[in-house]
Amino acid sequence: MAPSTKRITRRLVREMFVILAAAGAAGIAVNLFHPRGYVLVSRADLEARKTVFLSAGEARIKHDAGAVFVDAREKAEFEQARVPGAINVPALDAAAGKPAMDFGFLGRQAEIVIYCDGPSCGASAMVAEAIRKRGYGRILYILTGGLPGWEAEGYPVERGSGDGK
Amino acid sequence: MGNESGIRKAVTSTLYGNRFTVLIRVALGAMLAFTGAVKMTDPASFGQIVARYGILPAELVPYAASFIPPLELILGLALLIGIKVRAAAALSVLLMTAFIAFLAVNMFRGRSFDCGCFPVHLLGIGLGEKVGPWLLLRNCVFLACFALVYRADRHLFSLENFIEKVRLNNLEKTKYE
Repeated sequence: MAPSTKRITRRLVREMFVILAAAGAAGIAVNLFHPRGYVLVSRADLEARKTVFLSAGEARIKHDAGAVFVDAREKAEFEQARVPGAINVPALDAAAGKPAMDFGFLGRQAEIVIYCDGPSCGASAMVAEAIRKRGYGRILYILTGGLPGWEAEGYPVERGSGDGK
Repeated sequence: MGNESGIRKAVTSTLYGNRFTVLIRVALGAMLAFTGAVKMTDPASFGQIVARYGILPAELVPYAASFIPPLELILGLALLIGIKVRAAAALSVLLMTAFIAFLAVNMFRGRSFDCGCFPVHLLGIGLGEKVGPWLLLRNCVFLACFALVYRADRHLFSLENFIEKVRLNNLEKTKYE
């Protein structure tokens, strides 16, 4: 009697697995072809897509919409000139993960635009990475032309030593 | 006394598998197949419904949203036409238990939102069923019905039954002719 029950149970479990496998396969197939399906993307690809490069004009729109501007340059440069309302997060300090760094702005519901000295300065990318490491999952914007690009468009620049924050 | 034994007989007969059991099986099967098919028309918005429950980690939501609708559809069709009924009913019981657990956790959290059980809003019909005790009760009734289908030994008007009948008929033919 017992072996027979065992056999029936085993068959039942096998049939259940067949149904589950069929559902899994159907799910994958639907996602492949459905316009509103889920797409399998590599993690590296996904991270790369989370950083968007902006022109000065696009950054201006973000600025007017209340985005937080993060200045990735050194403190001295920041004190000389900056986008109005920008926060200074020097790239080297951010990369070193200094505990004194103020990342309080991450909690705000505003978008974040990072800029540095121009298209080739790596500071913005470094700050972006440091922000990512703090678990920030939304899109980060980098101003491609940096502050010079911003200035060249004739957008406002704040000068003189601000309070550094 | 005659009445009491009548009820008992009806219960025994239902547990064994009579027309009432068939009715339950077909109704639940049609329901599952329908909801599964509707959810499959829009995986992304079903994903949002799953995410709203706030139980699965965000990384798993797309997998659940891809997996649950076809599972519902397959289970529903299997119950509807009556093939692999026992396995389908067992999985339906597990699925319904998971739904009930999801609901109960969110009720415990004191949250109330559109449950997305029958996402007919995708078809342009507003049902607006909210997470709440009524829904929990209804799902418990569904769970009991699935358990009954699982428990039943005989499924009338099912493909399984039909195949078995044909097999047995041929068995007799080969035996006596």
